[in-house]
Amino acid sequence: MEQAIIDKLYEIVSKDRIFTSKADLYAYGFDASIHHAMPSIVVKPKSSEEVEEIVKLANEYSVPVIARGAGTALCGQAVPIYGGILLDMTGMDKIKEIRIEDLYCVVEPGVIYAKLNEALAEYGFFFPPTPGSGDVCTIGGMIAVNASGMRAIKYGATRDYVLGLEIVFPYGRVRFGSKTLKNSAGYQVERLIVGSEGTLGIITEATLRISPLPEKRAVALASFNDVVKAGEGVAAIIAGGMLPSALEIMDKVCIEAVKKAMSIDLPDAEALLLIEVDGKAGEVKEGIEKIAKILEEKADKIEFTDDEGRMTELWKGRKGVLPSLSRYGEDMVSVSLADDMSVPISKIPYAIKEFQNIARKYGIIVGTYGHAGDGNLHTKVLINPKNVENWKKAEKAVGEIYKVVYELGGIASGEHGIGITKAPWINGDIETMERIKKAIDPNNIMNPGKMDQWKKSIIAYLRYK
Amino acid sequence: MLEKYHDEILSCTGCGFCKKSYYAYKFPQKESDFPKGKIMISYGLLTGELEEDMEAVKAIQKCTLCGRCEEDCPSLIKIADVIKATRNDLQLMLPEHEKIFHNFKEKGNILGEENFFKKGGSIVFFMGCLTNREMKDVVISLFDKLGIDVTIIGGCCGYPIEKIGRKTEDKIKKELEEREIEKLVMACPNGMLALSEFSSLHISQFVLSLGVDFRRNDKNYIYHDSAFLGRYLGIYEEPRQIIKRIGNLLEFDENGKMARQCGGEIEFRMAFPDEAKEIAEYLIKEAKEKNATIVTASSHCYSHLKEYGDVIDILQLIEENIK
Repeated sequence: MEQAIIDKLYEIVSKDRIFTSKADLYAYGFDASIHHAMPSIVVKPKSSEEVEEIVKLANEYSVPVIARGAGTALCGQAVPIYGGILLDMTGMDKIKEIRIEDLYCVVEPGVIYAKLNEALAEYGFFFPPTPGSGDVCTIGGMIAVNASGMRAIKYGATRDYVLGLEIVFPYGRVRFGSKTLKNSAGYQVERLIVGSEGTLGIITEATLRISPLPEKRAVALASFNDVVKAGEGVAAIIAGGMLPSALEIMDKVCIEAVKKAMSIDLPDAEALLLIEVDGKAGEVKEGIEKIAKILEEKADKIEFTDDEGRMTELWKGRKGVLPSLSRYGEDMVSVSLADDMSVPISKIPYAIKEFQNIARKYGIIVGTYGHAGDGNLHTKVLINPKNVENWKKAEKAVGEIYKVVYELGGIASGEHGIGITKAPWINGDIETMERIKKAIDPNNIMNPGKMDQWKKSIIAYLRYK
Repeated sequence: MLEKYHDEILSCTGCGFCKKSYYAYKFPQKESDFPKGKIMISYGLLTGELEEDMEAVKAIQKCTLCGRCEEDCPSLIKIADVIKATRNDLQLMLPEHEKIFHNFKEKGNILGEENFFKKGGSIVFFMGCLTNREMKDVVISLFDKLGIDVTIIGGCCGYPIEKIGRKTEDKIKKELEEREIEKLVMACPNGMLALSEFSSLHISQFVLSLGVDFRRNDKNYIYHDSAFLGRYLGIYEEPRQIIKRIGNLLEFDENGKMARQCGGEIEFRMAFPDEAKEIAEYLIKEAKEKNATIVTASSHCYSHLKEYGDVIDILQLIEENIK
C-alpha cells in the first residue's frame, strides 16, 4: 500500500487504532470461513465521520475497504482477499438510543448482539433475530449478511427489523429509512444494504425495531427413528397452524457430535426436533399440548420442559452443533462448506436424505441440522483439511448438494450469506447486481471479489496450509 | 513442540465463541488480544507464514493461560496448551520476562529476593517466590499455632518460567527428593503444578485434614477461584469449606469452573500491568457490590488483588481465626 495512504490514515485515526504489524494483519485475515488473506492495514474507526474520511480516501486511491465485526462470518465475507484497508468496526459499539414507546433502538454497528439484548431486557424487550453466534457477533455483521437464526420462523430475520441505516458509500455518507415502523416514502435502500456483505457501503448506524420479550418459553424435544418422519413432523406442525418460536432439526451425525463434544444429555436417535413455544403462560401450555398431539404418532419419544436450566442446556447443545462437529472424528475437522441452504419446508427430509447419499458417494461426512421450521438447513462437511484430494472431493459434493437444493426449489443461503464459499450459487440476476454495484461503487473498492464477483473455484485463499 | 498441536489448531473453526468472556474488558482492542487471534498466530508461526517478531511474541504472551476461554469453546480446543506450546518454540523474550528469567537463574527466585529456609520435621512447606514475599511471617505463625515443627523450603518452583515457554532446572525437585517427606504442603498452585509428582496438598486441604476449629465472625467473604488451583488442579471445595466455618461465604457470579481470572500471575502482570489491573478491578467491583472481602487461595492472586481492594489470603484467614 502506498505510503501516502498510510500517512493520511494516521491523520484521520489516532495511531493506537491503526494496526500494521505482521502478526496483527495475519490474525485479522481470518473470519470463521475456510478462507484467509491478509489486509494491508487495519483501522479501527470510532465515528461515522472517520469511516467517511477513510472510505473517501480509499476511493481516491482505489484501495479495497473491507468492514469486519467480530469475524464470525462463515463464507469469507470479512477476508480481505485483495488486501487493502480492513475496518475493525468493533470500536463503534455505542447503544445510542432505546425508545421503548416507539419500538426502536439506535445502535452503532460494533454493538455485540448479546449486549444489545442485555440492555433491552431491562425494559422487557429484545431484538429477536437469534444467530448462533449471538454471544459474540456484532449488529453490523448481522445486517451485512441478513443474519437470523432459530427464531426466524416466528420473528423473521435481521432485514425485518432494520428501520433505518446510516451508510458510508464511496461517494459519501447517507441515510435511508426512518424511525417509524412503516415507511412507504421512496426507495428502501436500507433494505438493499441488508445482506450486501459490505460490497456497497459501510454501515455506521442502524435503527432497529424491537419486540417485547415473551412472558414464558417452553421446549419440546422429540426423537425420531427416521429423518423422514421428523420432516413429516415439521410439516404437520406448520400445516396444523402452529407458529412455534423455534423448530430445529438435528441429524444423527450432529446428535452424536454434540453428545461427544459437550456432554449434553440427548437421546440416541436418527433425528431430533427441538421445538420452542413462547408467549403468555396459557398460550405456551396450549401450544406445547397441541404439538404433543401432532407428533404423538410420528415421534419415538417426546420430552417437555420449561425448566430454565434444561432449556439452556438444550439450546447450548443446538448452538454448539457447528463447532462440535469439529470433534466428530479423528483427523477430521468441520469446514464451513455448503453451510446454510434454504429449501421449502416440506422438502427437508428429502434434502437431508440426498445430502447423505452425496456424502456417501464422495466418502465424506456431512452433518445436517438447522431451522427446520423455516426450511433453512445447515450442513457441515467433515474432512481432513491437510489432504488436497479431500478438498477436491468436497467441492464436487458441495456442487451436487446445491444442485439438489435448487431442484427442490431452494436457495444457497438462508442466513450466512454468500462471500466466496457460496459465490457460484448466488441467487438472482447477476447483471442487475453488477449494475447496482457499478452505480454505487464504480471503482470497486467495497469488499471486492465477493458474491457475484467471485468467478473461480471456492477452494481458494484456503486458511488450511 | 507446536507441531504436536497442528491438528488441534485445525480443529478450531474460528467461531469466535472464545471472545465471550473478554467482552467484559476494555483491553482487548484488536484480534490478537483474543484467544482466537492467538490460535491463528500460533498457526502462522507453525506453518511459517508468519515470522516471529516482538509483536507476535507480545500477542502470544498476553494471556494468563487461565483456561476460562476453553469453557466457552464448543470445539473443546485446548487453547492454553496451544499457546504454551507456541511459547516453547519462541526465540524472543519480552524484557519483563528476561528479568524474571534472570532472577530465576541467578537467585532461584523470580522476584530476585532471598529465599527462606527453616529446618524442621517431616511436614514440609514449600514456600515459593510469591508466598515468600507476601506471607512468610503468616506461614511461620500458622505452623506455630498448629504446633507443627515444619520444614520450610524456599525457592522458585519454575512454573512461571515454564509458562513463558522457557525450560527450568530441577533444583527444587532434587532438594525435595533428598528429603523424607510425610506431607508436602503449599499455598501456591504454581508450585503444586510444577512439583506435581510429589502429590502436594494445598494449605486449605492440609488444615482441613487436621480437623482444627475456627473462630466464627459475621463477615462476608467472597471466594476467588484461582484458575490454576481450580481449573488446573480441580481444588474448588476445600477453601470454601474453611471460609464457611469462619464467616459467610459469597460467590462471584462466575465461579468454580467458570471463574474469571484476576490477572495476578506474576509473569503476566509484570509484562501487561494495565491489562492485569483491569482484570483485577472487574472482580474487585463485584466484591464491593456484594459487600464482601475477597479470599484468595494463591499468593499470585493475593499479591495482585490487594493493590486494588479488600482482600485476604486463605493463609491469613486461617492463621487469624484458628482456635
